[in-house]
Amino acid sequence: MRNYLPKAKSSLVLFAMLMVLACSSTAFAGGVTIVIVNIDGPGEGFNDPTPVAPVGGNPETTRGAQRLFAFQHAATIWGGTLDSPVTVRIQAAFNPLGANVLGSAGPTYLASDFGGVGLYPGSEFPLTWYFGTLADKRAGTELHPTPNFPDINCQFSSDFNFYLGVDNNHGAQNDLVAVLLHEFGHGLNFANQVNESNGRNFGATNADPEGGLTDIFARHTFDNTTGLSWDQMTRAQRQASAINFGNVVWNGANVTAGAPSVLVLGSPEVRVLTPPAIAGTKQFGTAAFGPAISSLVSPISATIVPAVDVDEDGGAAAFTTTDGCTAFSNAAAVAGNIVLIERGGCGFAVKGRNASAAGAAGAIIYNQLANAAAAPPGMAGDGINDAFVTIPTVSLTRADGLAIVGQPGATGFIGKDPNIRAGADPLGRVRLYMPNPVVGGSSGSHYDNIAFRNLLMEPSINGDLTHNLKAPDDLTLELMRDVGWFPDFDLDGVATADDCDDSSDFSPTVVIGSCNSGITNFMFTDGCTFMDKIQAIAASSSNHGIFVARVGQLANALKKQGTITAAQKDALMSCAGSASIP
Amino acid sequence: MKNNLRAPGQVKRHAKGRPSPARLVASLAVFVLLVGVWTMVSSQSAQQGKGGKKYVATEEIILDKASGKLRKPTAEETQVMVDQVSSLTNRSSDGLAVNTQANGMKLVNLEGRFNGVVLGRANADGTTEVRCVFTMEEAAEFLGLQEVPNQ
Repeated sequence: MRNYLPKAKSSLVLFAMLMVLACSSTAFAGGVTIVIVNIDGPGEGFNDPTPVAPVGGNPETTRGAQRLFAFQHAATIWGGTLDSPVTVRIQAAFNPLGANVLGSAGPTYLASDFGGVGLYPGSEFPLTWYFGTLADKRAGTELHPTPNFPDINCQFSSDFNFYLGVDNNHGAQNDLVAVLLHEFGHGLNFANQVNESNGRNFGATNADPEGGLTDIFARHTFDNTTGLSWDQMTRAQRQASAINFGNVVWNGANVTAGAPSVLVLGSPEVRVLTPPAIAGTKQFGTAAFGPAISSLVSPISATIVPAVDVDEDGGAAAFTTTDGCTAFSNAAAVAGNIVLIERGGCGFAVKGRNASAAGAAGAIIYNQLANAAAAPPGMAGDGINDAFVTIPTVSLTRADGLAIVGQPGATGFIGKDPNIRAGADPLGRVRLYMPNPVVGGSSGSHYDNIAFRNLLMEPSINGDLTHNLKAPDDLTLELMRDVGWFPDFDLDGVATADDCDDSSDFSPTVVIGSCNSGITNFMFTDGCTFMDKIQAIAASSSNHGIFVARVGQLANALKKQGTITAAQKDALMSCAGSASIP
Repeated sequence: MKNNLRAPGQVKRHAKGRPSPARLVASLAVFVLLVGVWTMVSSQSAQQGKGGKKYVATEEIILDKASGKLRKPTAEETQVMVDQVSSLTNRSSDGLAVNTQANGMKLVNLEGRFNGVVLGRANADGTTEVRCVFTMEEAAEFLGLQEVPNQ
């Protein structure tokens, strides 16, 4: 703690004083108040009176009340993780949504180029969009002109059977709290505002496609291929970057620092090793059956052998000799090697089962003609053949598959690279999910789904997530720090790292011992209040004389600056002299 | 739109006197052309829905409550799904008013656009795979919806 006067203009100090006075009735304990604004009508959604039994730490006894309890639980977790003096309002409802649509959430407004009240810093970068929630935090005040305007708008399906407990013991059900933590995260600025299909920034127009403003998330979205972040790119470069699989990372310092304690070493990789003409790391899809690459003790390096089986329909379109839908006629060649199978004709798990039965060490399924332009699919199981798949099974694009077919004797690798963390690049920066072509969840507003351990902000809401938002369980808070949610326990607008006292004493007046000087306990620009300064002097003074002398130095400096009057100085010295300190 | 097509000008001409046969034919031709255009536009909007694109379901992603088995979404279910997701994930800033204040701050209401949408895909074992998407294209890929080319 520093005991000297800040070199600040008195107007700044006075501004800070006003802020402290305005907040003096507030109990400072960090965090942010998040309010769920229930907009459901009577008898529906949050107000659904259907009786239910308490579940998993959710004590409520109607369906509607349980939903609200789960929402409030997720809000409380976020509220205890971030710091802001401005209440976040989440407008929420449960409605019958379309089939397969379970919910939605998003910010209600954006702000740029805003200043801050008192010591709050305002926007970190000019000409940069922030979501309302983060903008309010950095401004230290509500920026939207409409009082109590919601910051996040969300709705969820009243038809879907979410797990409404709050203990994360959801079993095979989908945990509503985890889904809410994810969606609230997006609303708190874990998302960009770029239109990735055309690369345009928010605000760009047909007349000015390079126009608009970048956003705070895009500023940290970095492309290893071009060496540029998205705010430095042209529209066309951003468009290309949005599908530059495996090469787009988050370059924020907090996420990179947290990654080693969260992501395991051993990045799952599918590579063609030889011939050199087609060698390289390939974008691949995973299977919901068979052993995952991440679980392999040692990688598979072997020749890749195309499967040959019977054409069940004798040349008609449904089946081929390369689809692996029946027992392989070249099982002897396949045994011990990686088998290459064309998609189509039957389910993925059937192919995986046949490959396992043939003694293959691993299986690659590549897209058929009907999916020629599609990304490697995520391969669902069928509940029947899954248990018979004993080898790792991955998928490739049609182009990659055909390239291998065209190179008899090609060799491949399925396994983990022990030097790269799962979900990071070789430099340890965490990857964002940018597959080519677009697949579900592939907008750059998610971590790559290759990350392990699984992260809350991957596109898939995985069943093994905790409700913790920070390292070593997760990397969501770290990204929030990078975009500007700085820690500020005493909510004075000065980040903890820069604050001379991050648990400031916000008493309305300066009190020494039992003596009230009557002087306003204003705040200095270094994040300390007047009381903090006095307490620091007390803590570092070895006897009463030194304490009084140093209080005197402070009082003289303040009087000279014009911040306190001579009478106030006398009152302060009188209190210091009469106090039994130390 | 129908009121406009009824051409106030024609009524006026009737009131003034009998139009020449040539003008009558020309007016009729314009009327037929406009009605044709109107019908075509209406028909296209009905086929395309709010999202501007029509999709067909190709995968069994719904656990049918009655049979307990997986099935594909019906055409109607697909259209509702597409309309909702298209609207929520609209990532165009066209038409959104940016309010610039005297101190230089810019503020813009997003009017319900730029949402993340949580989708569920039922598996055969009764579980549901959940995915968060930001565009209709992502949703289509995850749900196995295939775009039907415009006729």
